[in-house]
Amino acid sequence: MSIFEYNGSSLVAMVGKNCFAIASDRRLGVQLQTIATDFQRISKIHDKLYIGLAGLATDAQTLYQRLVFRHKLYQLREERNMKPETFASVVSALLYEKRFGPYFCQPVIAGLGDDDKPFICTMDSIGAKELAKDFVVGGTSSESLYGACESMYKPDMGPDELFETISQALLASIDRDCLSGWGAHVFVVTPTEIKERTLKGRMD
Amino acid sequence: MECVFGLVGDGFAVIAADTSAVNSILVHKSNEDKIMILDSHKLMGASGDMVQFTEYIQKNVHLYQFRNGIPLTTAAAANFTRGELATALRKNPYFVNILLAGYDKETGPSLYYIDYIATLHKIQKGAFGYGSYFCLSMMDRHYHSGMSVEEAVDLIDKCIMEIWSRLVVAPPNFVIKIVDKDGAREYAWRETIKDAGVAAA
Repeated sequence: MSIFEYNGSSLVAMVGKNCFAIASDRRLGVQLQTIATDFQRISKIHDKLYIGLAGLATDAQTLYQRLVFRHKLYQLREERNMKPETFASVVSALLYEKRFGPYFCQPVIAGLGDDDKPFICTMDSIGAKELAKDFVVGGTSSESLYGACESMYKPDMGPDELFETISQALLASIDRDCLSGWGAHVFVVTPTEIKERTLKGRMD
Repeated sequence: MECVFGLVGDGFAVIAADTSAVNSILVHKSNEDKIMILDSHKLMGASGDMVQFTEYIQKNVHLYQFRNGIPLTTAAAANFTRGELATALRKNPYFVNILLAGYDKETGPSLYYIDYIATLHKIQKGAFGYGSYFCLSMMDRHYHSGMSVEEAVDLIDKCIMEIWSRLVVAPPNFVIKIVDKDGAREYAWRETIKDAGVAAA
């Protein structure tokens, strides 16, 4: 089994009209055994920037701690929050630093940039950025997620429609993946509010 | 293989661990205590090559208390432990799996799962080792939040019975330790083999 599949994870982020949504599954496993069903894979960097880390949980935790550190230092020096595009470059640089001994993580970054324009991107474990205008996926069920998102996505959805779409796409994919599951966390972020919801799927 | 499991109850947390020290087919001793008392209100049950690592954590927990005059919270101790494991992971990894239980006045009892590759998660019930295949299912069936000490120890006993009857290399003895507002202490042993004392010359 690949090291990326050791803990099991699924992540997806989608762009809507002046909003974005980012969602993950809730399972923490050790290969075939489930350890916890309430694992948080998506973390807030600031009110308009979220990062989800798929892959090996220990590296996701270490990487998250390093990123929070970098962002806090940036906030102290610049007296403002980091733009999502800048943050994505920081993540990419941190990952490439470990080019020959990488963090086994696949980040999915979602945020609202200048003028509250939604921004999403993903990268591989050594920091190759992939910017997208519609959706990005990561984790053990990523292939399934690509298919589900491609068929369900349409541009310029409002927050409620975006929530429905991302939830259905994620649940459809994780229900078919044995390493992801036990429900989902969905964050829908608009310039004025952040809605966090927990979904119930196949609880297995 | 070493079985360590634990759960959180109403105002307390309890950890049980087997007490066999084994090397290949040889059992060195059957009364090896694998649950270290880190400080007055913390327990660390470990499986694997644990002795050096758990003592190192214990001494650092004490050092923090000496330097700062107040004890670490359970969450802080768990994060410190994870940090040590994570730093060593890509250099000289420790092969220790840990369940860290503690009681804090402000937040009550808590239990943390720390994998040998430094995965940290706060849990209500958890288990390591071959015994986990039996304990986790037993606990999924019988655990509910806010269990009393009697109910929790009854569940621990059910898990131990399951290990004894279903695991081919079942360890004969277990120790159970508990932590609550009155501190961390040994609660009971469950023995099927008593180590013979040293014979008189």
